[in-house]
Amino acid sequence: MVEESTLIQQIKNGDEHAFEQIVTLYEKKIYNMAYRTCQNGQDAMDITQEVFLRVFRSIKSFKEESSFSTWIYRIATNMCIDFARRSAKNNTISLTVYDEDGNMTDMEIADETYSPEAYFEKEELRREIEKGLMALSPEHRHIIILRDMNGFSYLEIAEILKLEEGTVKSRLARARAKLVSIITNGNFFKENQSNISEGRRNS
Amino acid sequence: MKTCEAFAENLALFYDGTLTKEQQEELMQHVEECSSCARLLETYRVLLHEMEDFAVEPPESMHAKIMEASKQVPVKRKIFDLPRAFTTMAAAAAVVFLIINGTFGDLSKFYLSDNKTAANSTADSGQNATMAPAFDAKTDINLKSKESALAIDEKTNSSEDTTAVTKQESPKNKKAGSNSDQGNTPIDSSSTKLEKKSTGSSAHGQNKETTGSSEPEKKSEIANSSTSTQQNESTDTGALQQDNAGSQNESKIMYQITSPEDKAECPKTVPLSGSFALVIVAKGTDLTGIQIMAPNREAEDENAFYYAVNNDETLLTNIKDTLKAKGFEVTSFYNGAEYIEPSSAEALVVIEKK
Repeated sequence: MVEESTLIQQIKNGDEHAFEQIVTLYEKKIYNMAYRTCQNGQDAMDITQEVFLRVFRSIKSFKEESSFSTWIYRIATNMCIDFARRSAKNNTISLTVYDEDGNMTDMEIADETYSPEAYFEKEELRREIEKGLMALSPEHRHIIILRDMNGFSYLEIAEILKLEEGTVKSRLARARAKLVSIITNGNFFKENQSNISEGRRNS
Repeated sequence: MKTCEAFAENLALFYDGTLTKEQQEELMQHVEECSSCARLLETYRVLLHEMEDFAVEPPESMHAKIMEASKQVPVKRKIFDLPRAFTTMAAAAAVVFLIINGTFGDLSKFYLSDNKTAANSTADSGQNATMAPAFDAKTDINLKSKESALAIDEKTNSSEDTTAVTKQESPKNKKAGSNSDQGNTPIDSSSTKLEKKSTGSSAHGQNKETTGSSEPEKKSEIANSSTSTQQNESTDTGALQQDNAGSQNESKIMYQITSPEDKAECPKTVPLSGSFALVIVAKGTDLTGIQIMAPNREAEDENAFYYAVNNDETLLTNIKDTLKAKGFEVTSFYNGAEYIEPSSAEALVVIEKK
Protein backbone atom coordinates (compact mmCIF):
# COMPACT_ATOMS: atom_id res chain seq x y z
CA MET A 1 0.00 0.00 0.00
CA VAL A 2 1.38 3.32 -1.00
CA GLU A 3 1.71 5.89 1.73
CA GLU A 4 -1.15 8.33 1.73
CA SER A 5 1.21 11.27 1.55
CA THR A 6 2.74 9.75 -1.56
CA LEU A 7 -0.69 9.37 -3.07
CA ILE A 8 -1.45 13.00 -2.35
CA GLN A 9 1.72 14.08 -4.06
CA GLN A 10 0.89 11.90 -7.02
CA ILE A 11 -2.56 13.40 -7.27
CA LYS A 12 -1.04 16.83 -7.18
CA ASN A 13 1.02 15.75 -10.13
CA GLY A 14 -2.11 14.71 -11.95
CA ASP A 15 -2.01 10.99 -11.31
CA GLU A 16 -5.52 9.69 -11.79
CA HIS A 17 -4.66 6.28 -10.49
CA ALA A 18 -3.58 7.79 -7.19
CA PHE A 19 -6.81 9.73 -7.07
CA GLU A 20 -8.73 6.54 -7.59
CA GLN A 21 -6.97 4.93 -4.68
CA ILE A 22 -7.99 7.81 -2.49
CA VAL A 23 -11.56 7.45 -3.71
CA THR A 24 -11.46 3.79 -2.84
CA LEU A 25 -10.13 4.54 0.61
CA TYR A 26 -12.70 7.15 1.54
CA GLU A 27 -15.79 6.68 -0.57
CA LYS A 28 -17.63 4.35 1.74
CA LYS A 29 -17.23 6.46 4.82
CA ILE A 30 -18.10 9.65 3.03
CA TYR A 31 -21.08 8.03 1.39
CA ASN A 32 -22.25 6.97 4.82
CA MET A 33 -21.81 10.44 6.21
CA ALA A 34 -23.76 11.80 3.28
CA TYR A 35 -26.41 9.14 3.49
CA ARG A 36 -27.10 9.87 7.12
CA THR A 37 -27.27 13.51 6.29
CA CYS A 38 -29.97 13.17 3.70
CA GLN A 39 -31.37 9.65 4.20
CA ASN A 40 -31.45 9.37 0.50
CA GLY A 41 -29.20 7.25 -1.68
CA GLN A 42 -29.24 9.46 -4.72
CA ASP A 43 -28.44 12.63 -2.82
CA ALA A 44 -25.80 10.79 -0.84
CA MET A 45 -24.16 9.70 -4.05
CA ASP A 46 -24.26 13.22 -5.41
CA ILE A 47 -22.76 14.64 -2.24
CA THR A 48 -20.07 11.99 -2.22
CA GLN A 49 -19.19 12.69 -5.81
CA GLU A 50 -19.07 16.39 -5.14
CA VAL A 51 -16.75 15.86 -2.20
CA PHE A 52 -14.28 13.96 -4.35
CA LEU A 53 -14.48 16.48 -7.15
CA ARG A 54 -13.78 19.19 -4.64
CA VAL A 55 -10.82 17.21 -3.39
CA PHE A 56 -9.61 16.69 -6.92
CA ARG A 57 -9.88 20.36 -7.75
CA SER A 58 -8.47 21.60 -4.51
CA ILE A 59 -5.76 19.09 -3.80
CA LYS A 60 -3.04 21.58 -4.54
CA SER A 61 -4.30 23.76 -1.78
CA PHE A 62 -3.90 20.94 0.69
CA LYS A 63 -0.71 21.85 2.45
CA GLU A 64 -0.55 18.91 4.76
CA GLU A 65 -0.84 21.07 7.82
CA SER A 66 -3.54 18.70 8.89
CA SER A 67 -3.87 15.08 7.98
CA PHE A 68 -5.47 14.34 4.66
CA SER A 69 -8.29 12.47 6.33
CA THR A 70 -9.11 15.49 8.47
CA TRP A 71 -9.06 17.63 5.37
CA ILE A 72 -11.29 15.41 3.29
CA TYR A 73 -13.73 14.79 6.13
CA ARG A 74 -13.88 18.52 6.70
CA ILE A 75 -14.84 19.01 3.10
CA ALA A 76 -17.39 16.25 3.42
CA THR A 77 -18.69 17.76 6.62
CA ASN A 78 -19.12 21.14 5.02
CA MET A 79 -20.94 19.64 2.09
CA CYS A 80 -23.20 17.58 4.31
CA ILE A 81 -24.05 20.45 6.61
CA ASP A 82 -24.63 22.67 3.65
CA PHE A 83 -26.95 20.12 2.14
CA ALA A 84 -28.76 19.75 5.42
CA ARG A 85 -29.19 23.48 5.75
CA ARG A 86 -30.65 23.77 2.32
CA SER A 87 -32.95 20.87 3.01
CA ALA A 88 -33.90 22.27 6.36
CA LYS A 89 -35.67 25.11 4.65
CA ASN A 90 -38.44 22.65 3.95
CA ASN A 91 -38.22 20.90 7.23
CA THR A 92 -41.10 21.76 9.46
CA ILE A 93 -39.87 19.72 12.34
CA SER A 94 -36.64 21.41 13.11
CA LEU A 95 -36.13 25.07 13.57
CA THR A 96 -32.70 26.18 14.39
CA VAL A 97 -32.35 29.05 16.72
CA TYR A 98 -29.48 30.58 18.55
CA ASP A 99 -29.35 30.25 22.25
CA GLU A 100 -27.95 32.81 24.60
CA ASP A 101 -24.44 31.52 24.03
CA GLY A 102 -24.76 31.97 20.32
CA ASN A 103 -24.87 28.23 19.78
CA MET A 104 -27.26 26.74 17.36
CA THR A 105 -29.95 24.77 18.97
CA ASP A 106 -33.23 23.30 17.97
CA MET A 107 -36.53 24.66 18.93
CA GLU A 108 -38.61 21.98 20.40
CA ILE A 109 -41.62 21.48 18.29
CA ALA A 110 -43.82 18.56 18.92
CA ASP A 111 -44.23 16.36 15.94
CA GLU A 112 -47.23 14.18 16.22
CA THR A 113 -45.64 11.44 14.25
CA TYR A 114 -43.72 10.67 17.41
CA SER A 115 -46.49 9.23 19.42
CA PRO A 116 -45.89 8.78 23.09
CA GLU A 117 -47.68 5.50 22.85
CA ALA A 118 -45.37 4.16 20.23
CA TYR A 119 -42.89 1.57 21.15
CA PHE A 120 -40.24 0.22 19.00
CA GLU A 121 -39.10 -3.03 17.68
CA LYS A 122 -35.62 -3.01 16.35
CA GLU A 123 -36.50 -1.96 12.85
CA GLU A 124 -38.92 0.52 14.18
CA LEU A 125 -36.33 1.92 16.49
CA ARG A 126 -33.98 2.30 13.60
CA ARG A 127 -36.55 4.20 11.60
CA GLU A 128 -37.31 6.40 14.55
CA ILE A 129 -33.64 7.18 14.98
CA GLU A 130 -33.38 8.06 11.33
CA LYS A 131 -36.40 10.30 11.56
CA GLY A 132 -35.13 11.82 14.74
CA LEU A 133 -31.78 12.55 13.14
CA MET A 134 -33.47 14.41 10.35
CA ALA A 135 -35.23 16.56 12.89
CA LEU A 136 -31.98 17.68 14.45
CA SER A 137 -30.15 20.78 13.42
CA PRO A 138 -27.51 20.10 10.77
CA GLU A 139 -24.75 20.62 13.32
CA HIS A 140 -26.23 18.27 15.85
CA ARG A 141 -27.00 15.70 13.23
CA HIS A 142 -23.54 15.81 11.85
CA ILE A 143 -21.72 15.43 15.10
CA ILE A 144 -23.75 12.30 15.77
CA ILE A 145 -22.95 11.04 12.30
CA LEU A 146 -19.28 11.60 12.92
CA ARG A 147 -19.11 10.12 16.36
CA ASP A 148 -21.83 7.54 16.67
CA MET A 149 -22.03 6.26 13.14
CA ASN A 150 -18.50 6.69 11.94
CA GLY A 151 -16.62 6.31 15.17
CA PHE A 152 -14.42 9.36 15.01
CA SER A 153 -12.73 10.29 18.24
CA TYR A 154 -13.43 13.57 19.98
CA LEU A 155 -10.04 14.77 18.84
CA GLU A 156 -10.65 13.85 15.22
CA ILE A 157 -14.01 15.56 15.31
CA ALA A 158 -12.44 18.61 16.87
CA GLU A 159 -9.98 18.78 14.01
CA ILE A 160 -12.59 18.20 11.35
CA LEU A 161 -14.97 20.77 12.78
CA LYS A 162 -12.26 23.05 14.04
CA LEU A 163 -13.66 23.10 17.49
CA GLU A 164 -12.20 22.68 20.90
CA GLU A 165 -12.52 19.18 22.21
CA GLY A 166 -14.63 20.43 25.07
CA THR A 167 -17.03 22.00 22.63
CA VAL A 168 -17.21 18.74 20.74
CA LYS A 169 -18.17 16.93 23.90
CA SER A 170 -20.82 19.38 24.93
CA ARG A 171 -22.27 19.59 21.45
CA LEU A 172 -22.31 15.83 21.16
CA ALA A 173 -24.01 15.47 24.52
CA ARG A 174 -26.64 18.02 23.57
CA ALA A 175 -27.18 16.40 20.21
CA ARG A 176 -27.70 12.99 21.74
CA ALA A 177 -30.00 14.36 24.38
CA LYS A 178 -31.97 16.13 21.70
CA LEU A 179 -32.19 12.99 19.65
CA VAL A 180 -33.51 11.01 22.55
CA SER A 181 -35.96 13.74 23.28
CA ILE A 182 -37.21 13.85 19.72
CA ILE A 183 -37.48 10.11 19.35
CA THR A 184 -39.48 9.78 22.48
CA ASN A 185 -41.26 13.06 22.29
CA GLY A 186 -40.25 13.56 25.84
CA ASN A 187 -42.25 10.60 27.03
CA PHE A 188 -39.73 7.99 26.45
CA PHE A 189 -38.99 7.27 30.03
CA LYS A 190 -42.57 6.87 31.00
CA GLU A 191 -43.60 4.55 28.25
CA ASN A 192 -40.95 3.25 26.03
CA GLN A 193 -37.67 2.64 27.62
CA SER A 194 -38.30 -0.94 28.58
CA ASN A 195 -39.77 -1.67 25.20
CA ILE A 196 -36.74 -0.39 23.42
CA SER A 197 -34.54 -2.49 25.57
CA GLU A 198 -36.68 -5.51 24.94
CA GLY A 199 -36.68 -4.89 21.24
CA ARG A 200 -32.95 -4.84 21.20
CA ARG A 201 -32.53 -7.90 23.28
CA ASN A 202 -34.95 -9.84 21.18
CA SER A 203 -33.21 -8.98 17.99
CA MET B 1 -25.76 17.39 45.95
CA LYS B 2 -25.71 17.62 42.21
CA THR B 3 -28.92 17.84 40.32
CA CYS B 4 -29.84 15.54 37.46
CA GLU B 5 -29.13 18.37 35.10
CA ALA B 6 -25.55 18.46 36.27
CA PHE B 7 -25.14 14.89 35.10
CA ALA B 8 -26.79 15.41 31.75
CA GLU B 9 -23.62 15.74 29.73
CA ASN B 10 -21.81 12.90 31.40
CA LEU B 11 -24.85 10.68 30.99
CA ALA B 12 -24.81 11.34 27.28
CA LEU B 13 -21.08 10.74 27.03
CA PHE B 14 -20.75 7.83 29.41
CA TYR B 15 -20.60 5.12 26.79
CA ASP B 16 -17.86 6.90 24.91
CA GLY B 17 -15.62 5.70 27.69
CA THR B 18 -13.94 9.03 28.05
CA LEU B 19 -15.10 10.06 31.47
CA THR B 20 -12.56 10.13 34.22
CA LYS B 21 -12.72 7.52 36.90
CA GLU B 22 -14.06 10.08 39.32
CA GLN B 23 -16.74 11.20 36.89
CA GLN B 24 -17.78 7.63 36.32
CA GLU B 25 -18.01 6.86 39.97
CA GLU B 26 -19.97 9.99 40.68
CA LEU B 27 -22.33 9.24 37.85
CA MET B 28 -22.84 5.65 38.91
CA GLN B 29 -23.59 6.74 42.40
CA HIS B 30 -26.18 9.17 41.11
CA VAL B 31 -27.73 6.64 38.78
CA GLU B 32 -28.19 4.20 41.62
CA GLU B 33 -30.22 6.79 43.42
CA CYS B 34 -32.06 8.29 40.49
CA SER B 35 -34.27 6.05 38.45
CA SER B 36 -34.97 8.53 35.68
CA CYS B 37 -31.26 9.08 35.07
CA ALA B 38 -30.77 5.32 35.17
CA ARG B 39 -33.36 4.97 32.43
CA LEU B 40 -31.77 7.72 30.46
CA LEU B 41 -28.41 6.02 30.68
CA GLU B 42 -29.95 2.80 29.44
CA THR B 43 -31.56 4.73 26.63
CA TYR B 44 -28.22 6.07 25.54
CA ARG B 45 -26.80 2.60 25.59
CA VAL B 46 -29.53 1.29 23.33
CA LEU B 47 -29.38 4.29 21.06
CA LEU B 48 -25.63 4.30 20.63
CA HIS B 49 -25.47 0.58 20.14
CA GLU B 50 -28.12 0.82 17.49
CA MET B 51 -26.36 3.57 15.63
CA GLU B 52 -23.07 1.72 15.55
CA ASP B 53 -24.22 -0.43 12.69
CA PHE B 54 -26.01 2.14 10.68
CA ALA B 55 -23.52 1.72 7.90
CA VAL B 56 -24.90 1.47 4.40
CA GLU B 57 -23.18 0.23 1.32
CA PRO B 58 -22.77 2.73 -1.45
CA PRO B 59 -24.16 1.76 -4.83
CA GLU B 60 -21.68 -0.15 -6.90
CA SER B 61 -21.90 2.38 -9.67
CA MET B 62 -20.75 5.25 -7.48
CA HIS B 63 -17.04 4.64 -7.76
CA ALA B 64 -17.11 4.65 -11.54
CA LYS B 65 -19.27 7.74 -11.58
CA ILE B 66 -16.84 9.62 -9.37
CA MET B 67 -13.92 8.65 -11.55
CA GLU B 68 -15.79 9.56 -14.68
CA ALA B 69 -16.81 12.91 -13.24
CA SER B 70 -13.27 13.65 -12.18
CA LYS B 71 -12.16 13.29 -15.77
CA GLN B 72 -14.50 16.11 -16.64
CA VAL B 73 -12.83 18.44 -14.24
CA PRO B 74 -10.80 20.83 -16.27
CA VAL B 75 -7.15 20.74 -15.58
CA LYS B 76 -6.40 23.66 -13.39
CA ARG B 77 -4.33 26.18 -15.10
CA LYS B 78 -1.81 28.24 -13.37
CA ILE B 79 -3.94 30.89 -11.99
CA PHE B 80 -2.02 33.71 -13.43
CA ASP B 81 -1.72 32.24 -16.85
CA LEU B 82 -3.36 35.01 -18.71
CA PRO B 83 -3.72 33.81 -22.26
CA ARG B 84 -5.41 30.57 -21.52
CA ALA B 85 -7.41 32.10 -18.77
CA PHE B 86 -8.92 34.44 -21.24
CA THR B 87 -9.86 31.83 -23.70
CA THR B 88 -11.32 29.53 -21.16
CA MET B 89 -13.20 31.96 -19.10
CA ALA B 90 -16.68 30.67 -19.16
CA ALA B 91 -17.99 31.79 -15.89
CA ALA B 92 -17.33 34.77 -13.80
CA ALA B 93 -16.97 35.06 -10.13
CA ALA B 94 -16.99 37.87 -7.78
CA VAL B 95 -13.37 38.55 -7.47
CA VAL B 96 -11.95 40.61 -4.80
CA PHE B 97 -8.44 41.65 -4.58
CA LEU B 98 -7.19 42.38 -1.21
CA ILE B 99 -3.92 44.02 -1.43
CA ILE B 100 -2.30 43.80 1.87
CA ASN B 101 0.80 45.77 2.10
CA GLY B 102 3.61 45.46 4.48
CA THR B 103 2.36 44.24 7.73
CA PHE B 104 -1.26 44.30 8.48
CA GLY B 105 -0.67 47.36 10.49
CA ASP B 106 0.43 49.12 7.39
CA LEU B 107 -2.94 48.96 5.92
CA SER B 108 -4.28 52.35 5.88
CA LYS B 109 -7.65 52.12 4.51
CA PHE B 110 -9.34 50.08 2.00
CA TYR B 111 -12.79 49.16 1.11
CA LEU B 112 -13.58 45.86 -0.25
CA SER B 113 -16.72 45.11 -1.93
CA ASP B 114 -18.08 43.47 -4.89
CA ASN B 115 -21.06 42.61 -6.87
CA LYS B 116 -22.91 39.43 -7.00
CA THR B 117 -21.91 37.23 -9.80
CA ALA B 118 -23.36 34.21 -11.34
CA ALA B 119 -21.53 31.03 -11.95
CA ASN B 120 -23.26 30.43 -15.19
CA SER B 121 -22.21 33.57 -16.87
CA THR B 122 -21.23 33.12 -20.38
CA ALA B 123 -17.85 33.83 -21.73
CA ASP B 124 -19.21 36.92 -23.36
CA SER B 125 -20.24 38.39 -20.12
CA GLY B 126 -17.28 37.03 -18.29
CA GLN B 127 -14.88 39.30 -16.65
CA ASN B 128 -11.41 39.71 -17.85
CA ALA B 129 -8.73 40.82 -15.62
CA THR B 130 -5.39 42.19 -16.26
CA MET B 131 -2.92 43.21 -13.75
CA ALA B 132 0.09 45.17 -14.38
CA PRO B 133 2.86 43.66 -12.44
CA ALA B 134 3.98 46.24 -10.08
CA PHE B 135 2.44 47.64 -7.05
CA ASP B 136 3.85 49.54 -4.22
CA ALA B 137 4.16 47.93 -0.91
CA LYS B 138 3.17 51.14 0.68
CA THR B 139 0.25 51.86 -1.50
CA ASP B 140 -3.04 52.27 0.12
CA ILE B 141 -5.89 50.96 -1.72
CA ASN B 142 -9.51 51.39 -1.76
CA LEU B 143 -11.49 48.67 -3.28
CA LYS B 144 -14.85 50.08 -3.50
CA SER B 145 -18.00 49.00 -5.09
CA LYS B 146 -21.60 49.64 -5.02
CA GLU B 147 -22.23 47.41 -2.10
CA SER B 148 -20.86 49.67 0.46
CA ALA B 149 -22.00 47.44 3.24
CA LEU B 150 -19.11 45.22 2.45
CA ALA B 151 -16.37 47.35 3.63
CA ILE B 152 -13.01 47.08 5.10
CA ASP B 153 -11.93 49.95 7.06
CA GLU B 154 -8.59 49.92 8.64
CA LYS B 155 -7.57 53.19 10.04
CA THR B 156 -4.17 52.43 11.37
CA ASN B 157 -1.36 54.08 9.58
CA SER B 158 2.01 52.61 9.96
CA SER B 159 4.71 54.92 10.93
CA GLU B 160 6.87 53.14 8.45
CA ASP B 161 4.61 54.05 5.66
CA THR B 162 6.56 56.71 4.01
CA THR B 163 5.10 56.56 0.61
CA ALA B 164 2.73 59.24 -0.24
CA VAL B 165 -0.23 58.14 -2.11
CA THR B 166 -2.29 60.75 -3.62
CA LYS B 167 -5.89 60.42 -4.10
CA GLN B 168 -6.84 59.98 -7.61
CA GLU B 169 -9.89 58.91 -9.30
CA SER B 170 -10.05 58.08 -12.89
CA PRO B 171 -13.08 58.98 -14.88
CA LYS B 172 -13.96 55.36 -15.01
CA ASN B 173 -13.79 55.08 -11.32
CA LYS B 174 -16.09 57.95 -11.01
CA LYS B 175 -18.38 56.40 -13.41
CA ALA B 176 -18.34 53.14 -11.60
CA GLY B 177 -18.98 54.91 -8.40
CA SER B 178 -21.87 56.72 -9.84
CA ASN B 179 -23.61 53.48 -10.32
CA SER B 180 -23.28 52.45 -6.81
CA ASP B 181 -26.97 52.06 -6.36
CA GLN B 182 -27.07 48.79 -8.17
CA GLY B 183 -26.20 46.48 -5.39
CA ASN B 184 -26.99 42.84 -5.65
CA THR B 185 -27.02 42.91 -9.33
CA PRO B 186 -26.04 40.00 -11.41
CA ILE B 187 -22.61 39.65 -12.75
CA ASP B 188 -22.85 41.54 -15.92
CA SER B 189 -23.89 44.66 -14.20
CA SER B 190 -21.19 44.50 -11.66
CA SER B 191 -19.13 47.39 -10.80
CA THR B 192 -16.23 47.51 -8.53
CA LYS B 193 -13.64 50.10 -8.40
CA LEU B 194 -10.42 50.50 -6.73
CA GLU B 195 -9.20 53.86 -5.95
CA LYS B 196 -6.25 55.21 -4.20
CA LYS B 197 -6.62 57.34 -1.20
CA SER B 198 -4.25 59.59 0.46
CA THR B 199 -2.76 58.26 3.58
CA GLY B 200 -1.65 61.61 4.70
CA SER B 201 1.84 60.34 4.94
CA SER B 202 4.73 61.96 3.29
CA ALA B 203 7.51 61.41 0.87
CA HIS B 204 7.93 59.99 -2.48
CA GLY B 205 4.57 59.65 -4.00
CA GLN B 206 5.09 57.52 -6.96
CA ASN B 207 1.66 57.18 -8.25
CA LYS B 208 1.10 57.40 -11.82
CA GLU B 209 -2.09 58.17 -13.41
CA THR B 210 -3.89 55.10 -14.38
CA THR B 211 -5.17 54.96 -17.78
CA GLY B 212 -8.67 55.90 -18.50
CA SER B 213 -8.80 54.26 -21.80
CA SER B 214 -11.94 53.70 -23.63
CA GLU B 215 -13.57 50.37 -23.82
CA PRO B 216 -12.09 49.30 -27.14
CA GLU B 217 -8.67 50.38 -26.01
CA LYS B 218 -9.03 48.48 -22.84
CA LYS B 219 -9.98 45.36 -24.65
CA SER B 220 -7.01 45.75 -26.83
CA GLU B 221 -4.84 46.12 -23.84
CA ILE B 222 -6.21 42.99 -22.39
CA ALA B 223 -5.55 41.16 -25.59
CA ASN B 224 -2.02 42.34 -25.58
CA SER B 225 -1.53 41.37 -22.02
CA SER B 226 -2.82 37.98 -22.74
CA THR B 227 0.11 37.23 -24.91
CA SER B 228 2.63 38.02 -22.33
CA THR B 229 4.16 35.57 -20.00
CA GLN B 230 3.10 35.26 -16.47
CA GLN B 231 6.26 36.79 -15.31
CA ASN B 232 6.06 40.39 -14.63
CA GLU B 233 7.17 42.47 -17.42
CA SER B 234 6.42 45.69 -15.85
CA THR B 235 4.17 47.87 -17.80
CA ASP B 236 4.33 51.53 -18.30
CA THR B 237 1.96 52.54 -15.63
CA GLY B 238 2.34 49.81 -13.15
CA ALA B 239 -1.35 49.77 -13.04
CA LEU B 240 -3.53 46.96 -12.15
CA GLN B 241 -6.69 46.88 -14.01
CA GLN B 242 -9.49 44.55 -14.03
CA ASP B 243 -12.08 45.00 -16.59
CA ASN B 244 -15.36 43.39 -17.04
CA ALA B 245 -15.74 42.92 -20.70
CA GLY B 246 -19.33 43.81 -20.61
CA SER B 247 -20.94 45.99 -23.12
CA GLN B 248 -21.18 48.96 -20.86
CA ASN B 249 -18.68 50.79 -18.82
CA GLU B 250 -21.06 50.70 -15.93
CA SER B 251 -20.78 46.99 -15.80
CA LYS B 252 -17.06 46.93 -15.48
CA ILE B 253 -15.07 45.65 -12.67
CA MET B 254 -11.93 47.56 -12.53
CA TYR B 255 -9.08 47.53 -10.15
CA GLN B 256 -6.23 49.86 -10.45
CA ILE B 257 -3.12 49.92 -8.45
CA THR B 258 -0.46 52.35 -9.31
CA SER B 259 2.98 51.61 -8.29
CA PRO B 260 5.84 52.06 -10.66
CA GLU B 261 8.60 51.04 -8.36
CA ASP B 262 7.75 47.72 -7.09
CA LYS B 263 8.81 45.03 -9.42
CA ALA B 264 7.62 42.22 -7.30
CA GLU B 265 5.61 39.74 -9.11
CA CYS B 266 2.00 40.39 -9.12
CA PRO B 267 -0.66 38.21 -10.54
CA LYS B 268 -0.88 38.96 -14.15
CA THR B 269 -4.40 38.01 -14.21
CA VAL B 270 -6.90 36.05 -12.35
CA PRO B 271 -9.01 33.74 -14.35
CA LEU B 272 -12.47 34.60 -13.31
CA SER B 273 -13.80 31.18 -13.64
CA GLY B 274 -16.58 30.33 -11.33
CA SER B 275 -14.29 28.83 -8.81
CA PHE B 276 -12.15 31.76 -7.95
CA ALA B 277 -13.78 34.03 -5.58
CA LEU B 278 -11.11 35.93 -3.90
CA VAL B 279 -7.58 36.91 -4.38
CA ILE B 280 -5.41 38.17 -1.66
CA VAL B 281 -2.09 39.68 -2.32
CA ALA B 282 -0.11 40.08 0.78
CA LYS B 283 3.21 41.74 0.95
CA GLY B 284 5.48 41.30 3.85
CA THR B 285 2.84 39.35 5.58
CA ASP B 286 2.88 35.69 5.88
CA LEU B 287 -0.62 34.39 5.69
CA THR B 288 0.50 30.88 6.22
CA GLY B 289 -2.46 28.81 7.06
CA ILE B 290 -4.59 30.12 4.33
CA GLN B 291 -5.02 27.34 1.95
CA ILE B 292 -4.69 28.53 -1.52
CA MET B 293 -5.63 27.39 -4.91
CA ALA B 294 -2.49 28.45 -6.66
CA PRO B 295 0.32 27.79 -4.30
CA ASN B 296 2.84 27.25 -7.00
CA ARG B 297 3.15 30.86 -7.70
CA GLU B 298 6.69 31.81 -6.84
CA ALA B 299 7.24 35.39 -6.04
CA GLU B 300 10.59 36.98 -6.58
CA ASP B 301 9.94 39.06 -3.55
CA GLU B 302 9.97 36.56 -0.79
CA ASN B 303 7.74 38.78 1.24
CA ALA B 304 5.00 38.73 -1.31
CA PHE B 305 2.26 36.21 -1.10
CA TYR B 306 -0.45 35.68 -3.57
CA TYR B 307 -3.52 33.82 -2.81
CA ALA B 308 -6.26 32.96 -5.13
CA VAL B 309 -8.87 31.46 -3.01
CA ASN B 310 -11.50 29.18 -4.21
CA ASN B 311 -15.03 29.64 -3.11
CA ASP B 312 -14.69 26.91 -0.65
CA GLU B 313 -16.22 27.30 2.71
CA THR B 314 -13.32 25.53 4.32
CA LEU B 315 -10.80 27.76 2.70
CA LEU B 316 -12.70 30.87 3.50
CA THR B 317 -13.12 29.81 7.06
CA ASN B 318 -9.42 29.30 7.12
CA ILE B 319 -8.90 32.82 5.89
CA LYS B 320 -11.21 34.15 8.48
CA ASP B 321 -9.50 32.29 11.27
CA THR B 322 -6.09 33.26 10.09
CA LEU B 323 -6.92 36.89 9.70
CA LYS B 324 -8.65 36.89 13.02
CA ALA B 325 -5.54 35.51 14.59
CA LYS B 326 -3.69 38.42 13.13
CA GLY B 327 -6.00 40.89 14.70
CA PHE B 328 -8.48 41.35 11.95
CA GLU B 329 -12.10 40.89 12.43
CA VAL B 330 -13.84 39.21 9.61
CA THR B 331 -17.31 40.48 9.82
CA SER B 332 -18.86 38.90 6.86
CA PHE B 333 -18.20 36.56 4.06
CA TYR B 334 -20.98 37.28 1.73
CA ASN B 335 -24.12 39.20 2.28
CA GLY B 336 -23.69 38.77 5.95
CA ALA B 337 -23.59 35.03 5.74
CA GLU B 338 -20.53 33.29 6.96
CA TYR B 339 -21.45 30.16 5.20
CA ILE B 340 -21.22 30.01 1.48
CA GLU B 341 -22.86 27.29 -0.41
CA PRO B 342 -20.32 25.25 -2.30
CA SER B 343 -22.28 25.68 -5.47
CA SER B 344 -22.07 29.40 -5.22
CA ALA B 345 -19.53 31.24 -7.24
CA GLU B 346 -19.84 34.18 -5.00
CA ALA B 347 -17.70 34.94 -2.09
CA LEU B 348 -16.52 37.96 -0.35
CA VAL B 349 -14.54 38.42 2.71
CA VAL B 350 -14.90 41.52 4.70
CA ILE B 351 -12.19 42.18 7.12
CA GLU B 352 -11.55 44.96 9.46
CA LYS B 353 -8.90 45.67 11.92
CA LYS B 354 -10.04 45.32 15.46
